[in-house]
Amino acid sequence: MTEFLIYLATTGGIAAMLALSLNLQYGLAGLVNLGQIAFFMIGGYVSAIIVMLGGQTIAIGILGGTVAAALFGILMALPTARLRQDYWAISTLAAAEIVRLFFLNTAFGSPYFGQAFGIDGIPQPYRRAFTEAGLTTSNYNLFYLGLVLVSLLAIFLILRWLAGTPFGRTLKAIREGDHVPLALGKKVSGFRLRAMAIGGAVGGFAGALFAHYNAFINPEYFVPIETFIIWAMVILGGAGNFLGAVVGTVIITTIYNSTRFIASFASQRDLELTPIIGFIFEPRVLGPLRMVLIGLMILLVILYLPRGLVPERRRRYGR
Amino acid sequence: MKHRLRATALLAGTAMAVAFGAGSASAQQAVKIGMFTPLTGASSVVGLDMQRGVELAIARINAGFDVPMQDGTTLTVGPGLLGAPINLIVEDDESRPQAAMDAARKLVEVDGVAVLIGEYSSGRTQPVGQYANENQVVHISIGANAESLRDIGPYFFDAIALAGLQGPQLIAMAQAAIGDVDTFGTIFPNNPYGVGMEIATCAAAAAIGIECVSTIRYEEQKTDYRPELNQLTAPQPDAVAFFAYGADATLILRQAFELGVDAAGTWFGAEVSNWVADVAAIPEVAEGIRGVEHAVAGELYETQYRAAYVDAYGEEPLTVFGAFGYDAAMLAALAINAAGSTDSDAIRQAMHEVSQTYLGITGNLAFDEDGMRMFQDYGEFIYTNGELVPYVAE
Repeated sequence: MTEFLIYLATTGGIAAMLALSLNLQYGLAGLVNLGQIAFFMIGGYVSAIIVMLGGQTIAIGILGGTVAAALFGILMALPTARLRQDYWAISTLAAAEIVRLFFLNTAFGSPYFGQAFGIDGIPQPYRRAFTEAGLTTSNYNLFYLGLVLVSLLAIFLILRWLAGTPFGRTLKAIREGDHVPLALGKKVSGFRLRAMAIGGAVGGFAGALFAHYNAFINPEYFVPIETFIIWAMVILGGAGNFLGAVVGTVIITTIYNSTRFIASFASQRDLELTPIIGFIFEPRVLGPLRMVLIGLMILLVILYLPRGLVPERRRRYGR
Repeated sequence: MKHRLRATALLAGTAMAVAFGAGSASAQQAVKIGMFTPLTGASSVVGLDMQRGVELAIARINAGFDVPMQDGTTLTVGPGLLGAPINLIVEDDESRPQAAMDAARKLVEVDGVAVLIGEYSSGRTQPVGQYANENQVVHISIGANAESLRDIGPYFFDAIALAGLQGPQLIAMAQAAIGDVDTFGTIFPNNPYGVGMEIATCAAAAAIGIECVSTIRYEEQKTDYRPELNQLTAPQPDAVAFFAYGADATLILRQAFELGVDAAGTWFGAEVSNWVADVAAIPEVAEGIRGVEHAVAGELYETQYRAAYVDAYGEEPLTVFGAFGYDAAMLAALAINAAGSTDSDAIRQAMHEVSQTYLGITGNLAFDEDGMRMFQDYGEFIYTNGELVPYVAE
């Protein structure tokens, strides 16, 4: 059980980085990015390619993946920075699909490296050192969890600090509409561009960490539904609040995986199940039930807690 | 009603055995076998069929069963394994790779299964296979057959032959059916299976001087395939190799029919049983299409699997993959039985041994040194009057 919890915490931590990245773009700057998963994909693929084909170290790979995703964020923002929010959202969705289709149709060296096959056998940082030192896979998983949590904490603190700087306050002003920042002489498109670059870097870093943890990636991991799961985390937790994004991630990850234990919990305790409850416990029903539960929670939050479970603290100035 | 009662009885028995470890043995003593399968999402029909196949095998071992061997004898296994019933734990992987990994990790790390069984998609099987190998857990794939699976590692086994074997079969069938074939076209889904099939088919074609003039990889779940069909037919290939299932199959075959493509004359499908149920409402669009399918039909399949399946579930097997699931579960049970323990290395070694002697309902399951199934019989079929029937070239 401990191993599984470590795994969930690790993947949840990586998802939380993506949620933080989206929170910077949407929660702070009001940028409706429906292509968030593209950063994740670019980070993972570029890092794997740099390490496996370029022969570079994993640290350089992760750095490369982070920079590439940041550059893609800029690339995505450059032609669209002047678009209205709805058009902007559609363009980000399209951009993410272009990235996915690029990797889906591109082989790197061999027909079985890249394309639909994805990339397998991606090296894991310090894995050999752990093996040589006689340490177990459990030890390594614990190490990776530590790496993810430290990274998550660092990203959280940096982004929260950033939100309090003049840059962050300008992003919040842009979120409320372009008129005020324009009246103050701020170049809105430049701020959006920087928000996308930082968001892209965080998303790319998360993608690189995921690729080296999972040791395998293929385009199936990066379909649009994954972006919407990240959105669910941010909306549920509370857009604009970085702590809310993390809380939302924890809740969604918990719902996703806790339902797997309901049936075995019931059977272990010899619970008398009615036919209807027994039907719900069937694995083929529990799957969709997760999404129903998540959808229901989002509806309830939107209706009764429109600012999320951990709302953004808005400073009130003198009236 | 009779079928339903039997199905309910068998399912209830299986469920009881699964949930409570049937009989007096405690849950701790039960040998645990884990299965991850797509019960929701795009592959849910195949996933359910695989689950049923595995359940049938486990129910038989739990009741005690004379397993057929290749030398004509039988080996009595059970009731149960190692003195306790098998506890089958099934997890839905939602047809998503991340959910497949979640399910597999839960089965290994929480449930502590001795053997992991699944899946059908190569993209979901590959990462789980890597994980299982790293953690030294025996993993048997049921229906995944991309060539890249060969390199996963010593704890990975595949109960279905890799896709490459179907390529030469399709080329040979086309040549026998329409004679002089100089050019080939392919239309496969852009996934590991489809791309693997395209590579295997065109490599087999090139080996005998046939040129692949159009190679179309289509995106799944689109609402219009006419551009792909026009690209496919533009160079006027003499024959076409194709694969589709689900709503994609219905749409591709219907639009090909509407565009006047001579599918009955020139198209040769891989694993053709995948779309039979999907075109049931419009059988005319697929009338006359020929192709190959894993040859699972035979006396053993009929008596040991199909009849029991119909008895238990009140309907014909949904796909061929349930039968591969049955064989995968039988191999797992035989290997644990032969190993005499749930030790991974002992099961891994026993897997190679039992694969050489077990007579599967899908044929000879002998593994090579990489754990890949070496032999696979393919049958040739033609779709006519709403059903697939064996095809013999005139």
